[in-house]
Amino acid sequence: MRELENLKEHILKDYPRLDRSSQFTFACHKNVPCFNECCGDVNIFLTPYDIIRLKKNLRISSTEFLKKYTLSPFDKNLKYPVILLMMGDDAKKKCPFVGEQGCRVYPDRPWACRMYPLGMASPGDESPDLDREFYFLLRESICKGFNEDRQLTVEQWLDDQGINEYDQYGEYFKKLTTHRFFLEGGKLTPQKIEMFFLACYDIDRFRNFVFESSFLEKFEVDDVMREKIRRDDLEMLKFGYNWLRFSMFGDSTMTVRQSVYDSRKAELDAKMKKEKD
Amino acid sequence: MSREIYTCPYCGQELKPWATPEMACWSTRVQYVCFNDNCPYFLKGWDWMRSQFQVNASYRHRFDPVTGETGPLPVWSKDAMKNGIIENQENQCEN
Ligand code: SF4
Ligand code: SF4
Ligand SMILES: [Zn+2]
Repeated sequence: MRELENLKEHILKDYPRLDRSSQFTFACHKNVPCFNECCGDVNIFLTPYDIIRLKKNLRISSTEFLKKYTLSPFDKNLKYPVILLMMGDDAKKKCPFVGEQGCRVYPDRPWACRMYPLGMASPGDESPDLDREFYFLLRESICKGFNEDRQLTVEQWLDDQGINEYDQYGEYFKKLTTHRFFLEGGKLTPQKIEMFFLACYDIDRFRNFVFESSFLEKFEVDDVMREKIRRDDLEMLKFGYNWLRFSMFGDSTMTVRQSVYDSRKAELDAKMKKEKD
Repeated sequence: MSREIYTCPYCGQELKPWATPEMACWSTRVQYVCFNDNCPYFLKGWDWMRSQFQVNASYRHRFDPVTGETGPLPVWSKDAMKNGIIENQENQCEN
């Protein structure tokens, strides 16, 4: 593992740690010679919040969005399903949203596109020396933005890019993906992977499932909450996270109806009685 | 002490240390990837991705030295992800 330690050091040296008040030089605008060059041939992983913003921007359902613009690469070792933005079939492998004038979904562009050129490392990553979050600069060789004459702080960049709203929903998602179930090496069954996919990424199909299956007969969900999740994708998403934590990890984030317990108990009693006879 | 060398189970070439990009689902910051353009795994991947997802993409063999897990790293082109390769390793001469 010695080599690994050296590599980590090397990375930390190559990417000096920045905090929110650190300054760097960077600008990206229509007149940089590399304009739009970076919007192709990249792996952009979409978060649940990214998908909600994008499908709204495009005025389509999450189901249609996923089908048309993404793929969920198969990997039996992945802890949970991930969504990758599908690049084009042209020579440059262009992002489906890049146009002459730049990003066509700019107000709702994904988190990863906002962050560049900043990278972020958070505690919970494997490095033991990482006690708190820090930032670093990713210098893609094609990117001429570093030659621009503009000084700004990390904080300014994050504000400028509207990262804060993303972070708020990112936190909820992180609670799922960094749950001790995963840290302790837990693996999801195919059925749970499907549940994860549904509640995190396909919010419209998840809503149908909640309202059209026997879901609401099983869980206590009051009228106010029902109304909220019926109307609001973000409320639906938060609700979905709670449901996933309950069903994947056994966290007490949902309340099962008494009637479900009662009928379960009656079933068990009948079974016991039968075995006794 | 000998240096750890990881090799690709598909082509036998040495895997290259690679800096994991942000927001990927992998928490390990340095992983090992086979960047051999003639690796059969990478070459076969194009057909597989086309048949599964109707896309012109492939994947490379990836190894996570912390968890010991392996899996595919999706790529859209031959050169994709290559700028994440960590080439310079002073520690090589120590052994
Ligand atoms: S979503 Fe927009 S900013 Fe992101 S890669 Fe595509 S075109 Fe570029
Ligand atoms: S490569 Fe850098 S400067 Fe050029 S368009 Fe992309 S982010 Fe902006
Ligand atoms: Zn190989």
